[in-house]
Amino acid sequence: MWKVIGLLLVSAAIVQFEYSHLKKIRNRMDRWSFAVLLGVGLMLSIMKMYDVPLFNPLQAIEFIYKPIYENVFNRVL
Amino acid sequence: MKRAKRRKNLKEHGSKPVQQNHSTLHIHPTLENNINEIKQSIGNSMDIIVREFLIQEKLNGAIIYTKGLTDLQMVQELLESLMLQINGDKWIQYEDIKKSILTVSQIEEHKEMGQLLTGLLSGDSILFLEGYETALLINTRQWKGRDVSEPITQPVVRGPQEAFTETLITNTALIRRKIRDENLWIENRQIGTRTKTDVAIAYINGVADDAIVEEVRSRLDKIKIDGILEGGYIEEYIQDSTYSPFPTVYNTERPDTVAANLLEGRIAIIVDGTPFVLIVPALFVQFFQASEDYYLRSDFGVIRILRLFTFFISLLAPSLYIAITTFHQEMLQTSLLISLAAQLEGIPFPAFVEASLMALTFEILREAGIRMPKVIGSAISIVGAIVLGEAAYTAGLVSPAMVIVVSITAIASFVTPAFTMSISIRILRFVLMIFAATFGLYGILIALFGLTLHLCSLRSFGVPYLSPIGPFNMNDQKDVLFRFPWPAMHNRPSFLQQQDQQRQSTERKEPKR
Amino acid sequence: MLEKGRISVAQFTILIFLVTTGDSILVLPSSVAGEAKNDAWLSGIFALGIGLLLVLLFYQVSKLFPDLTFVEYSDRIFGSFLGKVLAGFFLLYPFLSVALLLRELGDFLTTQILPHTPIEAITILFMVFVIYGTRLGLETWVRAGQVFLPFFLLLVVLFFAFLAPQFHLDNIKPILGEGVKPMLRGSLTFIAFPFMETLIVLIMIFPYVKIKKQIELRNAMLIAQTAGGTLLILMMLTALLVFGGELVAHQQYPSYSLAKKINIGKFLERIEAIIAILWLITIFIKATFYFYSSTLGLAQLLRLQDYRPLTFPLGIIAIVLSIEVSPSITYYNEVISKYWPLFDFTMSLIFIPLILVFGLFYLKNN
Repeated sequence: MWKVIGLLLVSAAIVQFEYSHLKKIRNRMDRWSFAVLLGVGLMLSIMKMYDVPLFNPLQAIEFIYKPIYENVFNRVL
Repeated sequence: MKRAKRRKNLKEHGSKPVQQNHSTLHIHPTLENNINEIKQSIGNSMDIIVREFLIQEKLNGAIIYTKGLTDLQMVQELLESLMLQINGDKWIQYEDIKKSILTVSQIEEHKEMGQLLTGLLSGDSILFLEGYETALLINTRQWKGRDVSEPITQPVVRGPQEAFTETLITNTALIRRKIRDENLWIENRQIGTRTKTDVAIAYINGVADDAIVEEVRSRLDKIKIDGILEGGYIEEYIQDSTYSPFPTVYNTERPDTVAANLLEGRIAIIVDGTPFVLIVPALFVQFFQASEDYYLRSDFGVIRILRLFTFFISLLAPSLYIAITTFHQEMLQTSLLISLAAQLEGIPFPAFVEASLMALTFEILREAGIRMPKVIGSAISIVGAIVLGEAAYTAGLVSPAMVIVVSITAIASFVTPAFTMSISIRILRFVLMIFAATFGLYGILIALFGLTLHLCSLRSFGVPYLSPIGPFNMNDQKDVLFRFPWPAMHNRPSFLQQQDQQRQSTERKEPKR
Repeated sequence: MLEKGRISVAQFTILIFLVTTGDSILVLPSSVAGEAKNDAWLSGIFALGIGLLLVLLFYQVSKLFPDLTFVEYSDRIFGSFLGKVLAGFFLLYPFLSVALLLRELGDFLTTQILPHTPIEAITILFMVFVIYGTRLGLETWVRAGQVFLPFFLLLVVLFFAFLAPQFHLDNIKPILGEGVKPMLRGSLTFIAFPFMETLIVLIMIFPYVKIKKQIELRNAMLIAQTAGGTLLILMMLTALLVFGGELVAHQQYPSYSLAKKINIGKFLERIEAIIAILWLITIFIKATFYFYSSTLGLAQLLRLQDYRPLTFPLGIIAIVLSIEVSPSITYYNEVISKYWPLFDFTMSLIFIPLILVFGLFYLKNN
């Protein structure tokens, strides 16, 4: 719980920090991408704090390359 | 009702010009009016003296001067030449007074009141004549100033023993005495709406980069403040980044240092009223160079490595002590570890608190030493020795090892030749101690990364602060960690982008005009 | 233009050198020796040769659009949709690498140096400074690398000099005792980690180097890779000469253990901090390089006006990812030493040639 509150405080500080900068940029895409990425980051970290299983990108790598490693690399060398 | 009245009052008061603007006010043909105008503007101040007189028994005139800023002898001579020497029958013209009667070296003619007032308050005398719309501003400036004395903050063993004074014109003279080149140009301007402080920009035309000179001019012109009392005011206005512990403007009270920097293509900013002259662009390595390095034999220049080393000691010693004693005891030699552990046995505080206490005590002593009247100076050294020494250890507050660490830090911080740099080290030392207390050596290293990044991002008037280390330049290394013998230093430091790179050639490259 | 800073060829060379040695200096010897044993240093020489050949391939790519990063020209050569998808896919590579580097940093520090500090605290602190460097811009953080270099080289020289008394030539004999195969197997990681991982992400940096002729880029890459590769081979050789192949293979951090063995005249001992500092310098530059490239790339992909606002959100995601990627250290080590190199190979031997072919095709038609 405290971790989540701390995290939210940190992100509030980040928003505060970037706000004046983003205000000067007229492009709306800048604000949206900042907001969306920050949202994703927050969501992921909160999920991680409550031990919600997330997707590990290394599993994808393993899934693709394990057969190649075992069938090609190990055979050739 | 009441409030409305008050607001009305305020409004009336606000709309009334509290102070008239004299800068555009023109001189009146009648003498009476002019004298009254000046008296009124200065509020009948007691140090303004008005002397009215008659020329050739017909023409009314008046000399006005500020007592204390003026050479009374000169005023006397002025009056003599005006009142006694003009007695022929020939009717005297205004032009004649200016051309053949006043035997003063510097005379200016003005039509506007504002310039006259500024001149008057700088020590000039004003000469008004009945019926003329111009007045003469006669240079009679002279006031009591300090004589040229030895440099207090940057002493040397070998080298010139003179320092700047508070008087601008003495300072420019000191520089001129070193560089007799007609390309040493000194521009003047007045900054401060009220103090109207004289500020001079000195540079060698054809050596200094024109773009940087222009940048200095434009930054100085942007300053809007009522008063400049020291170069520090200007420094904070013209420095590139305000939020940095590192100084990006160099200051010195040594004319030889200024001359050397001018010759390298830097620009000096001389402020009236302070013996400290600002130099830009200022780079990191410059703060570790003393003028003596260039006067002693070149092999002595290796001393700079020692200075850099002490820079790291004074920055890192307490934090390394904290990191090693709290996180990395295994890094110590076994025998040392045992003796250290025995020392730390009775200490009630963790290393961080212990170190901060001692470092803070030292800072207090140091501050007290500067602020205190000189008469009781010896008291502080006695008390200081007790607090930071034997007694603190005997009382069981700190370990002897800690005393050594703090002492070496203190001494190391005095090695840095430039005082401004040692201030930034003092601040950063505490930051590093916090990192050391939380993350050990890793924290220190990461903080140093951050520090390096910060240093790399700094610029001084467009020149990267860490040059010639980053960006690296091989040729300029001749004057960084060590100094090459003079015959080997052919070129001026290239990062300043001078027009005339060659230091050693029989001919000067003539600048474009 | 999102990035206004430009770096010199010398700075570019130093950057590649530091990134090449980055991270590998600590973790590479173990995984190479795991396959090649005593001949691990020969794997290094072989890998360096391959690495230099790869430089020629990447040099061709750099010539395609000298003024644009890959993300900027990708939708020209692949079409607007496929171009964006491929650019996005490419950006995952440096971003994922940041997370892996963070993880490696956290693992090393928590196991070897700061056993009582939570791994998150370590990675977050590191990430904050990587973000700081990224925000200051390319010119600044590359310059920081340049400032680190003298310290780096000094420590490297000290390291080798201190260890020289403990070399045992017998440890690397017999040379190629078990044939060429183990040596070649070992060079898999030796090619992938130092050389490929550096080169792939360089396609985001090429346009920001101040050059008169394009060939300067190639020379810079060749010099830097040779220097970095040589340093790694020397490190490998030192580890073998002191420990022998078997022992190197069974240690997680052989170079660190090497530093622990330094003992000069009974007073200069326990200076393993040297190798930790060396490694931290390189991994800091490497992580900043990857993080900078992915942030800048994403901003270019989304056509933003500034990449700086993305740094904090991406930093948070990278930290979560760094915790997520390694459920257990054995799993992590297996993936990293076996499958990740193959991913590197795919990127540099399939993806990059793809760019080259499509790019040449595009240039020919336009």
